[in-house]
Amino acid sequence: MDGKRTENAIKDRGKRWIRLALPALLLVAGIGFIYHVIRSKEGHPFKNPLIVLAVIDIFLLVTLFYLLFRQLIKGYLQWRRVKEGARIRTRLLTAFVLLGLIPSTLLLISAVLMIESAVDKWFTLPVHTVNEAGQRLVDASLDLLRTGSARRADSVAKQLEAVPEDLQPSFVSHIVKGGDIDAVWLFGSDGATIKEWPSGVMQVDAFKKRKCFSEDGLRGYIVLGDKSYVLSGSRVGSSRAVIVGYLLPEKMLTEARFIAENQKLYLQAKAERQFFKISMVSSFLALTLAVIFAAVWIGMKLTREISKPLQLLLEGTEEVSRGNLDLAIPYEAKDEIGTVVSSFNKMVDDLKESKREIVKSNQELREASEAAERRRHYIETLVESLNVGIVSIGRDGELLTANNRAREFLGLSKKDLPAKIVTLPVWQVIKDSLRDLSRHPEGRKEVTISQREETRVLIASLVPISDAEGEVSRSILILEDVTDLSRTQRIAAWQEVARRLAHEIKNPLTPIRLSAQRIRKKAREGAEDLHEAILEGTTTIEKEVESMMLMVNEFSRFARLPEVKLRWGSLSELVLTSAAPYQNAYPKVRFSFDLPEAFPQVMFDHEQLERVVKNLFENSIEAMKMAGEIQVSLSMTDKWACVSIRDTGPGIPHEIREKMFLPYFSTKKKGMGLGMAIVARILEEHGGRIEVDGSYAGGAGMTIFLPR
Amino acid sequence: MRRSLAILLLVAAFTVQAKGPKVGKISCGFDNLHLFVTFSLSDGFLSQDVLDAINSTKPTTFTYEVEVAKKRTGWFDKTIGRRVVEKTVTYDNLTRQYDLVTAVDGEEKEKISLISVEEVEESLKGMTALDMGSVVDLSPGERAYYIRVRVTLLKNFVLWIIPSDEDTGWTEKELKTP
Repeated sequence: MDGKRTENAIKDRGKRWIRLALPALLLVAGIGFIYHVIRSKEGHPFKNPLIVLAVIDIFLLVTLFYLLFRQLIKGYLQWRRVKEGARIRTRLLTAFVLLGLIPSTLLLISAVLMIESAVDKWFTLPVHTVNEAGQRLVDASLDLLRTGSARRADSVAKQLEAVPEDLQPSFVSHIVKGGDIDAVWLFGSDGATIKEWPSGVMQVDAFKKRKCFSEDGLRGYIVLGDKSYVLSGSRVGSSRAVIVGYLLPEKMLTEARFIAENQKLYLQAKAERQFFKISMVSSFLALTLAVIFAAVWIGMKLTREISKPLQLLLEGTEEVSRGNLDLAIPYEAKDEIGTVVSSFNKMVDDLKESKREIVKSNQELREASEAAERRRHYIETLVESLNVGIVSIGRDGELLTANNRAREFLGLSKKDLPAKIVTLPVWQVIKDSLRDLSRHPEGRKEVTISQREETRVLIASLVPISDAEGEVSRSILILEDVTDLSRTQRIAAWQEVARRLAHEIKNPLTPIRLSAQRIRKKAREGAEDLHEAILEGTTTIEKEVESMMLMVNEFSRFARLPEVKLRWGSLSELVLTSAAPYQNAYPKVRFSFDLPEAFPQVMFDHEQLERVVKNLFENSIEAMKMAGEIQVSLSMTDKWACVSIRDTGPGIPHEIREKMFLPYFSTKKKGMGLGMAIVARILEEHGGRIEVDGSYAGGAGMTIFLPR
Repeated sequence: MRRSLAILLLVAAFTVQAKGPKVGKISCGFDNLHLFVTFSLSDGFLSQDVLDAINSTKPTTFTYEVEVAKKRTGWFDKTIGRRVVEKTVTYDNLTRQYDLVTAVDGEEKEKISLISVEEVEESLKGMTALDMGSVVDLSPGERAYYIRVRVTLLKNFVLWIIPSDEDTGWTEKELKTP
C-alpha cells in the first residue's frame, strides 16, 4: 500500500503543478497586461493607478472564479464518484467560502454606498455656489482690466496710425511716459519688434502678435509671471501692430490667485469625483477580493488539512474492510484527529494480531478437525468392521445410521436408507426392544430375529448419548449376535443341568439302591430284621423320592418363568403384602419398615416381584433360625427405586457373594440353588438388578434396584 | 429569443458608435517626397463631457493617431508609418485662458494660449498638413496603401473599472502613391 500511496502522491503532485500552471499563466498575463497598460497610458499619471487597480480587480476576480469554479467542478465530480472525504470537503469548503464571502460582500456594499454618499456631500450646492461666486468676482475684476486694456490698445493704435511710421517708436515712448500704460510693444507684420518699452519686461510670443493682426485683435490676454500683465493689441495700419500691457495689481492678483486656486481644486476634485469613487471602490473591491481570496485559500488549506486525515482514514477503513491489515496511516498530529488516526492504527494492529491468532486457531482447528476426521474415519471403519451391530437412534426413535453388521442383522442392504427399516417386519421387534431398553437404559435384552429362514439371537443394549445440555439427543443400539454363544450356552447349561440332575438324581439313587439291596439281602437271608430293614429301606426310598420330586418341581419352576408384565404399582404395598404372612407365621421374627408415604409408583410385575421379596424374606428367616429382625426400607436415586432388606442373621460371606446368583449354587443342605438365580433373572427381566449390601455389617443385606 | 437579443445588442452597439465623433474628410498630398495628411473632426466633437473635462482645469489630452498602412490578403495589414500627435489643453481658471501644448511623437512642438472655447475647438478640430515623413519606401502606383486616422477624445471606464476610451474609431482613406 505504501508503494501505491507513493505513486499516487507523485501523480497528485504532478496534477497540482498542472493545476497551478493555469493561475500562474493568468498571473503572468495579468502582470504583462498591467505593464502594457501603464506603458501605453504614460502621461496620464492619475488614471494609471486606477487602471492598475482595475487590472488587479479583474485578475483577482478571474483567479477567484477559477478557484471556485475548479473546486465546484472537482467537488461535484468527487461527490458523484462518492470519493472518500469528498462530501465533508465540499461542505467545509463551502462553509469557509461563505464565511469569507458573505461578510466581505456586505462590507463592500456598505463601503460603496458610504463612498457614494460621502463623496457626493463634498460637492453640495452651497459649496458650489460659494466657489462660483468667488470665481465670478475674480472674473469681474479681471474683466475690467481686460476691457480697459483693450480700449486703450485701440486708442493707442488709432493715435499711432496718425503718426508717420518713422516717428511711431518715439511716439510710443511719449504715450507711455505720459499715461497709464505699463508696457508697450510695437512690431511689424513679420513679428519683429520695432519698439519695446520698458525693454526686457517679457517676450510676446508669435501667436499673440498674429492675433493682433486678426479682425478682433488681441483682447485682454493675461500673462502671469514675476510681473503679471493684461495684454491687448490692435493693428496699426496694415503693417504694424501695437500691444499695450497693464500690470496687474499685486494684492488683487494674490487674492484672485487664491480664489482661483481654490476654485481650481474644487473643479478638479469635482471632475475627479467619479474617478475618486471608482478608485475607492476599486480599492475596496481589491481588498474584498483579497480577503475572499485569502478566505478561499485558507479554507482550501484547512479543508485539505481536515479532510486529508479523514480521507486517509476512509481509505484505511476501506482497505481494512477488504481485509488488508498491513497498513498504517502516515499521519501524525497532536490534535484530536491525530488521536483518532493513532487509535485507528492501534486498532488495525490489534485486528492484525487478532487475525493472526484466528489464523493460528483456525490452523489448529483445521488440524484438530482433520485429526477428528481421521479419528471419525477410524471409528467409522472400526464400527463398520465390528462384529456387533451399531445402530444410531434419533430422539424420536427413528433409525439414523447402521453399520454393516447391523444392516446385516436388520436385513438392510448397503444402498438402503436407514429409514427403510420401518417397512420391514423386523422393525417391530426392534421397536419393542427399544421401548423396553429405554425404560431400563442399562439393561440388556435378548432379541430373536428371523429373516429368510434364519434365526439370530441378538443381545441388544442401548447407550443414551446426551448433548451439551445433558439432554438425551440420540441413542446407540448395540446388537450383539449371540446366536452361536446362546446355542453353546444352552448346550453348556443343559449339560450342567444334566450333570446336576445326574448328580442330584444319583445322590438319592444311591441310598435307594442301597436300601433296595439291603432289603433284598435281608429277604434272601431271611433275616430277622427284614421287617425293620424294609421299613427303613422304604422310608429312605420314600424320602429320596420326595427329594427328587422337590428337585423336579424346582427345576420346573425355573424353566417355566413367565414373561414379566409391567404395570405401575406401589412398592410399599408390595412389601407390606409380601411380609404379612411371615409376620403371622414367625412371631419371633420382627419386621420393621421404613416406607416413605410419598414414594412414587414404579412399573413392575406384581406377582413376580412379590416372589422375589418373599424369597428374600424366607432366606433371612431361615438364616436367623426363625428369630431376629428384618428391616425393610425404600429409597430413591436418579434412576432407581431401591428396596433394601436387612436381617440380623449371620450375613453372607464375601467368597460366595459373586456366586450366589448363579443357578444351582446353594449353601443349604436342601435346595437346588435356583432361588437366588430366579430372583436375579426376574429382576433382570425388569431391567433392574440385585446386589449384596456391602455396607451393612449387622447381618445379610440385599438391595433390589428397579428402574424408575 | 437569444438571436433577437444578440441582434438588439449589435444594433445598439452600432448606434452608440454612430453617435460619437467621427473623423471627417481625410486628404493627403505629396511635397518634396514627403506625405502630408490633413483631416478634421466632424462638428460637435467638443461634447459637453469633453468641455467639462477641459473646464475642470485638469490637462485634457486629445490623441491623434495617423498611420500609413498596406493591406495584406489573409493577414493583418502592415503599418508602414505612424504619427501620434497629442494636444493637451489646460484651462486656467484665473486667466480664463486655455493653454494648448502640441507634441508630435512625444516631442513638444508648440505651446499657445487661447482665450475662447471657439479658439480651442478650432485648434483641436483637426490637423493640417501633418508631415508623415518620406515616401521613398512606398511603391509607386501601388493601390494597397491607405491612411487611417483615429482620434481619442476622452478617457473613460466601463463599469467603473474597465478602461474604455472615447474615440472616433479608425477612419481610412486610400492612398494613391505618385
